[in-house]
Amino acid sequence: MNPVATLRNIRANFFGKRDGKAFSKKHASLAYLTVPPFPKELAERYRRALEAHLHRYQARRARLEDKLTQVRHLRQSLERVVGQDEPTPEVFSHMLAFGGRYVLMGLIFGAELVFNKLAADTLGVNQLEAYIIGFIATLIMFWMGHEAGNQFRKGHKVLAGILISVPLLTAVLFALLRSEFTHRMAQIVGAPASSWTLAALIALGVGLVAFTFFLGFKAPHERETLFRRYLMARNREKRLLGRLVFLHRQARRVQDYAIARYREEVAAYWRGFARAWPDWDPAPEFVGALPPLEAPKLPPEPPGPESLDESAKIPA
Amino acid sequence: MKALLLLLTLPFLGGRQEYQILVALGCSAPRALQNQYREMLASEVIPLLASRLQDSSLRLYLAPVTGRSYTAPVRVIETPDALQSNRFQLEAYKTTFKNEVLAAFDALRKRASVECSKGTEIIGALKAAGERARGPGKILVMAHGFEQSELMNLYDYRLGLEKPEVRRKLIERVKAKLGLPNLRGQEVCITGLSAGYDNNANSRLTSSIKAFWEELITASGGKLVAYGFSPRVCPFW
Repeated sequence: MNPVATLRNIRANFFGKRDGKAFSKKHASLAYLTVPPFPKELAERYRRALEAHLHRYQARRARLEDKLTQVRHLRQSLERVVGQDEPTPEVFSHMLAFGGRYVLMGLIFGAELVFNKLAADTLGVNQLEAYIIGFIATLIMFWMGHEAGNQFRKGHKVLAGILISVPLLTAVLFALLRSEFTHRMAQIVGAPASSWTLAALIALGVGLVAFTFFLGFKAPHERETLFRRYLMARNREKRLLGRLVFLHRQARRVQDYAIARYREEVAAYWRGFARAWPDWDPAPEFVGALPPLEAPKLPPEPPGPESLDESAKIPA
Repeated sequence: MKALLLLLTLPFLGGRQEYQILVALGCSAPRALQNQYREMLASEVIPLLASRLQDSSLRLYLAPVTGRSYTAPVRVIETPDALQSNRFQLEAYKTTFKNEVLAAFDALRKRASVECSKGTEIIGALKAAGERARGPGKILVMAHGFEQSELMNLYDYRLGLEKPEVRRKLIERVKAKLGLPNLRGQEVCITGLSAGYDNNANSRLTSSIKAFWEELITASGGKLVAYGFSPRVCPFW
């Protein structure tokens, strides 16, 4: 059976359910008889799309605001601790400096480990034991040297002097051990060892200890670390505020575009309608019925990142 | 990473490294060539191996390639565990190691000369080496590369070894009569290659011999990493 001629389709064409392809089949008088439902359907569709968009916007905004609350809490509690501090240059050092210090510490620790292991070989123990002895010695050397530098920076010079003497003595002793190793090895191999060995090894060991001390000296104070975290939290909060504002404006833009598009589509529909019904003769002022479509109300715009600067300003 | 560990002489990971040295001895190589092999062992192979003693422990097999390689006696030398010994001891052990290896070589050579048998069973020696190996390892073959056994006679210049189908037939013959050696995870390096004093061994023959060995070792699951006269061409030291 021809599906075009089914009763269902004939009825649909007559009552205008399927007016997309078969406009020309209808008589013009039908246009006066029934109000075309399409613009209303379109309005309904757009209303739903806008609601869905509002829903998504609210979800996103809620997520961002949640994050913002956390960050703001962190920032406020940090501000209570270090808010009045004078920022030191240490706080504003290069962004890689923070992790870079740890990398440097690892390198120096490794170098001390090798130095100590090579010295411990002289004790006649096997290499595994030499590693263990070297590791313990390194732990002592590194920790005490680092702490000495830290105490020196804090102004406890006597304590720093006492602390640094331990790794220094260890380094010199291990340099002696290692130079003995070199001489004994030279005997076995049968080639003379350099007479500079001891001096070079002492310089190396003392250099390592000095570097450890320096790293301890450069270690930021706790307040500086907190201050750095405070600044980072502040930046993050600013970024979040900016994103919230952006999100809001974007949502408003999407709504405006949707409404404009809706109007255009309805106008296009009426244009097509007039073309499809050449006998149609509406009143001259009739340009097409536009069912009203209101964009759902957005919540008020959140304060931008500049609000943070204003609130942070110390009142004169 | 490995280079960094070597640089810092940091822990020696992994177990014993296995090296197998198969040398053509007895009636399989002329006396002068055997002397050359001993010279190579003393001046090239042993110093290279000894330089690794500080940070790794080796298991070294010395086996002869003779007319009856598969049943020939073998010497095994195990070096002390590097992590479990002192560095002075290790340094002192280097000379001992050299003497041990050369003594083992001389003993093998003597015995192989006494039990002189015709032919050169390189494939048999490889098969025995594959059965001896406990894991991935390195095999250094110091032989001229001319297999002479029941399986084939590579000296025969009418063999047409440059043709791929001839080589394939030979490998199939090995598979049928002896079975391919199990060289899975083994790196094989053939050195000591020489034309000897043989007028038939021209460059065409030697290059097709190289192709033959490469195909045989690949078919056995191993890898021919180098092929030349001196053991310095081997990349695994």
